[in-house]
Amino acid sequence: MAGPLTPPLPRAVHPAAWWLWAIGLAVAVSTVTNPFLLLTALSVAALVVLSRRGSSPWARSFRLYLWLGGFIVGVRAVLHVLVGLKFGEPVILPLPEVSLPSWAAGINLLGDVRLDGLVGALTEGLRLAVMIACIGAANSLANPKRLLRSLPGALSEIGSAVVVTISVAPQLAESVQRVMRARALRGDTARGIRAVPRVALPVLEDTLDRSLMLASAMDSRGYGRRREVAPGRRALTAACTLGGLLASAVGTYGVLDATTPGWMGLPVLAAGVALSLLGIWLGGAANARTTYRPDPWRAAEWLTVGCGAAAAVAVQLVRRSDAAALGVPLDPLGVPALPLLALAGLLVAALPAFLTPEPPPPAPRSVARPRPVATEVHP
Amino acid sequence: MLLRRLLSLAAATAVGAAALTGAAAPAQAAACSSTSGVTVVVQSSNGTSVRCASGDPGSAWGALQSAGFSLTAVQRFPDALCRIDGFPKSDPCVNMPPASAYWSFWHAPNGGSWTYSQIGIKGWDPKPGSSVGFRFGSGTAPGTQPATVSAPKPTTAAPRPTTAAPKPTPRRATTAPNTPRSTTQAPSGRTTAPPATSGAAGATRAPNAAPGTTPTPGAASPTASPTPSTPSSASPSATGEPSASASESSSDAVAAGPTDGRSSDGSGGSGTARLLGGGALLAGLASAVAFVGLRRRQAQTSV
Repeated sequence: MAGPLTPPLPRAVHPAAWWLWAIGLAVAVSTVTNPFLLLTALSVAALVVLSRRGSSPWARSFRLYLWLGGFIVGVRAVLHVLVGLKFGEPVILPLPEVSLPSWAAGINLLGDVRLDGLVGALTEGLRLAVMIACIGAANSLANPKRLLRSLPGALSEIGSAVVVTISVAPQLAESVQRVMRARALRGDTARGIRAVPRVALPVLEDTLDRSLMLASAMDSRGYGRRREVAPGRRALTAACTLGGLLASAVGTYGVLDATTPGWMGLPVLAAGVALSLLGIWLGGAANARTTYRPDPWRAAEWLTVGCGAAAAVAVQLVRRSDAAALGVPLDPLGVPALPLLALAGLLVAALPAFLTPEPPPPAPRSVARPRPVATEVHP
Repeated sequence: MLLRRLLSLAAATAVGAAALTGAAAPAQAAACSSTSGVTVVVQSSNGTSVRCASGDPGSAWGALQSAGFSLTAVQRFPDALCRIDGFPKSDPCVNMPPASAYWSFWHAPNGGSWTYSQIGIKGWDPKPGSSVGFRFGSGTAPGTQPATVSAPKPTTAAPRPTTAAPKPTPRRATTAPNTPRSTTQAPSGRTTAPPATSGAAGATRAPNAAPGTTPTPGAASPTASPTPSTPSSASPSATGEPSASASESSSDAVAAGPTDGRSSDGSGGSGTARLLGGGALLAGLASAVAFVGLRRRQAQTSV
């Protein structure tokens, strides 16, 4: 609609692009307690989700993440009342204070709830809630099965294992329904706890049958087959992957711990990531696999990733120049600042709501119903 | 570690400040001479400063303030100290300072040794005669020994203490800054008395200061001067004038501290403008979200 070009054909944006966009937004928010910025980021995430989510079941999960965020803010407030550090001026809820013995000194239970401290606790909770909402936005925008499809070759086996795993729950529910229906048709109307053994055994048997069917179906389609790889190359792949993991762990530790020498931080982390990528690339060569209709990566994907990165960069710039603008003045409680650069960056992150192609319209009902993989397969 | 950092507060650029103003503070340029005050030790790479917060401050934070240090709190955790007298400048004071560069907070009973405080700077109520110490770094104890003081029977001439004695008790120094000019004068008079015999001042002070501040290299040497750490302590010549002005400034700082903080945020103009601007922005975004959501729902039902 808003694009200067002709409106693009409806298609699903690459799931990895949505994840990178959401991670950019979450990184931008991670150092912010300014409620103006936090609520702006939340609105941006909600706007993009509402305008670009698909018609799959998980596309409606954003609401659950919002509820989870609200729960987090509530828990943060309750914990503040219980054990929080209550500072500031106006007492809004007078409570008795319980001091713990000396082995737990410094922690006071209850005590007068003061406005400044409560505002501080609520903004901290809101920060975490907004970060979780960003992840929820990615979850409802990106189709997890398509994301697993675009995994690199070396990880494709893990990907298929994960796909099989996440299709277990709907299959189980369907099994239970079928068994219950069969029992009802035979006149067995026992309910409650006494019906459990009579339902559980058929369901278990059904699950095993389906697993075997799925395994044979995957086998006949060539899953799990590998190319012949020279032993030297296999050892090199293993060394790269393991060494990369180890170096990444050490490097992460070095980055987070300020007391370690400098070379243990970013250099080791970068070397570890590079080694891991090399290992994945080497391992992918051993995998004889083609992708049916791979998801394209075009301008809309670049735009989406760029908008997420712009938000993170803008907030980071503000943090460098005027870190206090990203928080709430608590000591004397005041109105938080309105850092225009950070606000502009967050608003840029809303552009994918208008500039990316629309998601494909929902398929007609009969096809839209997800069918378990195994039912399509007959041994 | 986080707890340690939380507990830590700031105390700092003692040297510069001491040379300029603090050192001239009345009877505060060194460890307390009696149990009628709290000795405040502040040590950083800029040097060590030992001062006395007279009376019975309600918290270690108050002791620092009444000893004439200016404090900056961490923005997100206002009970944690970030800077003392503007040190360290490099820390933006928004998040908790790193574990390798923060003001660790120590306290010691009269004549005891330093203990890393398990209680926050605003929660610790130092007893008169005890010491509180602040060292910048990664949590090592201050290099200066805590003060050892005796009951409020100073060693100076008998009559003076009695005139001086009332002063320590006014822990309400905040209320007193203007009116009892004479009383603020009184303690300075106590320090003034020596200038005539400034050697004597050092001598009388020595018994108190010396045992307290022996081990540190910087602190011990100029025992004669009230501020042992700073050789530049032109302060010993803390004669009537400078001391009076310093006491005034320090008590002003205390008096101003709580009040002007509140009043500054009340300077509403820009605050309400920001509130309106931010509210308008969020309202606009929320209506955009609602509009897009409604349109999408209509489109779906029509399909």
